[in-house]
Amino acid sequence: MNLTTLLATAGVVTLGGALLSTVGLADPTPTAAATADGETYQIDSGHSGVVFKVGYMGVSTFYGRFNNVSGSYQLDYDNPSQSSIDIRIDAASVDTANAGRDEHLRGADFFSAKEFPEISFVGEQFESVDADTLRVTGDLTMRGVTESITVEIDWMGDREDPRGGYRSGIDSSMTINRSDFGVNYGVATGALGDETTIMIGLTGTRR
Amino acid sequence: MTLSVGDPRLDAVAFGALGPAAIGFTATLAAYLIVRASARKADPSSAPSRAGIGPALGVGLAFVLASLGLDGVPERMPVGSADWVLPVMATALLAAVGGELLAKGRKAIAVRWLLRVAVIGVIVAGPLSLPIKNRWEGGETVAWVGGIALWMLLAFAASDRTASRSSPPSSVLVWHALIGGLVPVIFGAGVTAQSQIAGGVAAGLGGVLVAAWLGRKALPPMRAVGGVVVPYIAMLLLVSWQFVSDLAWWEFGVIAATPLAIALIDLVPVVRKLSAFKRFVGRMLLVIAATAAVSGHHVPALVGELTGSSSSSEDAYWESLG
Repeated sequence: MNLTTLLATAGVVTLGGALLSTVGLADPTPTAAATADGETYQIDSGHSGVVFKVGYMGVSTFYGRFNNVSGSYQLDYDNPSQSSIDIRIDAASVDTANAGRDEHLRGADFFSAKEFPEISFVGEQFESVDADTLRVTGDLTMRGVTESITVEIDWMGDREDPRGGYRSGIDSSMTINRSDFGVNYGVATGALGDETTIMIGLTGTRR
Repeated sequence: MTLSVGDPRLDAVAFGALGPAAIGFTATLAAYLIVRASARKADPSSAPSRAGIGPALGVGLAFVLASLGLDGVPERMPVGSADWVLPVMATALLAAVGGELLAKGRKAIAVRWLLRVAVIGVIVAGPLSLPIKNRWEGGETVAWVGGIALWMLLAFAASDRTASRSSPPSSVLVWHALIGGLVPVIFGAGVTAQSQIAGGVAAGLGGVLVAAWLGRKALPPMRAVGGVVVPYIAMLLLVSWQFVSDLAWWEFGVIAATPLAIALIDLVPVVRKLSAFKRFVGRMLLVIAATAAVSGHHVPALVGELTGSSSSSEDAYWESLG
């Protein structure tokens, strides 16, 4: 191997390492821990997901998602009463891979996103279930209607972000009757189910 | 709780067409029979005005059936603008019927207008409460609330004027054409449920029209029908406009202007000299032109949904609504 080849190889390796580092793949050792730390995390919309599913015509399950979610959480599994969670979903960001349907979902028949731009969940009471799970009773507000619901929130882990900062993640799922919130299009005719499950996977950045 | 008969296509026919049409026809025909029976008794003078509640009941109940059948029975207090259509229409129906029944003579006019103001009050306290709270400030609130209230008062007056100068069938046909013509634009504004219900109201007016034709010599002017239709058009405008849905401002303006223009066209000197039939033709042409202007470009999408004839993936969604 001559000097030119050696230098070129070293350069490629160095450049590749730098590139891998920027996409977060250079550090193969996870430091995630399934322990809530009581710190406050800002929801990172780009790495969070809110997916919903509802029955279609009584024969299948239809899935959609909301693309923009914001808010914060502070979950203390040792002292649940010190916890808080505030999730804000942009109703207009509903996405079902069909522009016409999304427009309909944003309209008065469903979310009426111009009148009620946010769907929110604000935790009120926190109770420990086990080391990784909190049972949270809070106010779910959709289309201007607020209902108290209880959900379980799982701490998925937390770790240093190779690009800086500190991240954690939580998962939750809630099943509601959408007609309780006035979102009843298609329920009377049986075209769409009433029972709707909302699945939430959030990534937070420590403040 | 629903009124559903199960199959969405049967629901659409039962609650969006045949049921409302039957109600409109039955209520108006019953009023016609009452008029005829009353005319044979001692007090024929009270019969005509009381008979006027039949068509109003027909239209109002047609809306209620279409609304409950197609959109379900409300299970909570209204919150959004669309939720308020049913309560406002129930109030308008009571006001229209009450206005014809509660008072006679000089007091009748005052009572009728007082009840109409009460309907406007429900709209301000109900569907307008959200933009008043969240969107408008100071003078903007006054301008919007004042504008909507003024429009309704003028539209009520216009409908009274048109009813008093038209035969019952011709005045109902004008309303029928207007509401039916608005179905595509309401659909196009993204308020599918309300466009389906508007189809039911148009069907109800169709039933009223047939019965009004049969009883045209015995029925009084269709004043009370305007008491129901004017608030209905106001609510269609409110649930379709920019704050709630996607009705374009020029479409909003054309729809709002049409009920007023129907009455004002009689004030044009050339039109004033025409026969009653020709004036009716003029009103119909006005309604057809206005509804074609706002609804015409929405018709293909609506037809595609109704017939399942569209082929794009976007249209496939609307077809799937049944």
